[in-house]
Amino acid sequence: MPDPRLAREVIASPFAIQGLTVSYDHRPVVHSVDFVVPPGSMTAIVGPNGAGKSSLLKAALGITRRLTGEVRVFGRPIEQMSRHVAFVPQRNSVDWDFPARVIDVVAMGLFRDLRWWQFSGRDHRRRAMESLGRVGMEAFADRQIGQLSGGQQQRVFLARALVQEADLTILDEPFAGVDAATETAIVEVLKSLRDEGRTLLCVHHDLSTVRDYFDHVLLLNVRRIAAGPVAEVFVERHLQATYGGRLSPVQLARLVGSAAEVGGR
Amino acid sequence: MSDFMMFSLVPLTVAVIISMTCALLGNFLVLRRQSLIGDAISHVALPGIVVSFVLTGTLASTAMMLGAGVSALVTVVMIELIRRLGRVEASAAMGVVFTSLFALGVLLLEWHGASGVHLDVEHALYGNLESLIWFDGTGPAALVDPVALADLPPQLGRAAWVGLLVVAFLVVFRRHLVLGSFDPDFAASVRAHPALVDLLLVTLVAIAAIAAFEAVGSIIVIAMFICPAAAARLMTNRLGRQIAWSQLFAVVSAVLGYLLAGHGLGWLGFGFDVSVSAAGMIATVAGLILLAACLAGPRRQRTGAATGT
Repeated sequence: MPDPRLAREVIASPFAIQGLTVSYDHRPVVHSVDFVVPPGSMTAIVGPNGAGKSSLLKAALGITRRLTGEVRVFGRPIEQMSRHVAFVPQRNSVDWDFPARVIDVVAMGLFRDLRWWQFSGRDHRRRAMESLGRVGMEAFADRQIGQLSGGQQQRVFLARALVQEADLTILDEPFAGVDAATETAIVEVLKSLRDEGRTLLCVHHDLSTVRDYFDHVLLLNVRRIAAGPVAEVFVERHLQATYGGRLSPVQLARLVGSAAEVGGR
Repeated sequence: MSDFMMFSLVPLTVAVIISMTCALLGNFLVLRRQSLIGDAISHVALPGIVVSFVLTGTLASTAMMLGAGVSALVTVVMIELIRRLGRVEASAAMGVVFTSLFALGVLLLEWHGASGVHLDVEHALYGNLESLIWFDGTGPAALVDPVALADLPPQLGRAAWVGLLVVAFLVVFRRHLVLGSFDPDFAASVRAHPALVDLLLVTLVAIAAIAAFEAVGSIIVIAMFICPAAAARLMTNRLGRQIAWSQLFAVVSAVLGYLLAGHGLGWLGFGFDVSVSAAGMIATVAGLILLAACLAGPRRQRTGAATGT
């Protein structure tokens, strides 16, 4: 049972961060961030380079060490609940010359379903192929991963997360360096996941698509600047605070559009 | 036949087992671009062994292995310290640590005069494969004779145990190893404990290097951690097949190298009765296989070159 003293929104959330601080060489790269991802949402983490977006995710997932802070999945510590969370790292973080086929990489998502004495069977291959089909890559199953384009690599990574059938999928820059067709295809898959009631959390770089793709947003620059529904939070005042006033009025006008500034934290 | 059993069977078997064991681990070192760690650990076995000799005054295997193990540990810690404090690449830190520790070992050896007791630099490099004589191995009957079997050189048993340990490790942790080698961040996110598995891998490399060091010297160890696996990587794009190729290359290197060292130079026309160090010849054959794979291996082109956006 989750701790009954927790707030109701924390118990409902697949990813609730409290007081998360990460530091490298005594310099905080993420400072005391609180953030609750609403269930069933498509949430973006937005901020300038070096704002600590990836650091926040990696520390929250237990990949790197966090100085302070708690992360809860449906009210329980993430250490017990990691099965409910799928992670898609940055495409460039791995060596695509690794001797593996597409299907081998997707099957890595089945890691937790297989004990060491078990071999992956027909059922596992079927699940992996289904995931590949969802991202439109089933024809590439036996292809060497080194032969893929950047967009195809990203789809394979997404398929590996799909196979985990997690309640929450966390993606680090899923649209970095992919072509427009792949970006559209990935967005469609992510939206279909949300329609199944799953939650998505993306580090996102392209401010111009935040309104189109996401319903919630966390504006981050080492600290939490603002968080909430895109319509309320993705406004000039908060964007200027996040980017240190470096966005031009023309850019801002295009991003924020005619949406009235409601404000909200 | 009895000559072969007495003088060649055990050295050949030990060379084959150790080559296969090191090549197995080497596959993952090559994939993780950590090949140098095998090199580093097998070099620093020397100062460890010398220090243990200076302290205990014996060449008993347990003391030697303990010394080598401690120095392997010291090396890993030093590499990590230099990497963090000096903010240099891991390979640079490894290079600094193992060359200086090996040099220290050589100095200690000369200085202490330990060289009198069959512990010298040559021994450290080439091992003493040829001295693994099975005196009771007088004929095929000895293979089923418990008395004769009990007389087998202990290095054979040790090599076999370490080989089994490595195979068991790879079987049990195969998915952890692959996941941690390909994508450590994802591995951590599914609780495959990449850092712990990494540590286990390095520990097994150290155990294999130390067990091999005593019997075959550091040259074979270094060659076998790198050459068969690197050559195998050039033969195929599938991990399972790469491992199979590496095992084949290891066996060919060990057998061919051993035979060439004993007789081959005579066959090649260098005159008869010339024999050279088996360890050196095995390492040379392994290197030649790698060269051949570099020149003619079907997968020598990096497939990643086609990667666009």
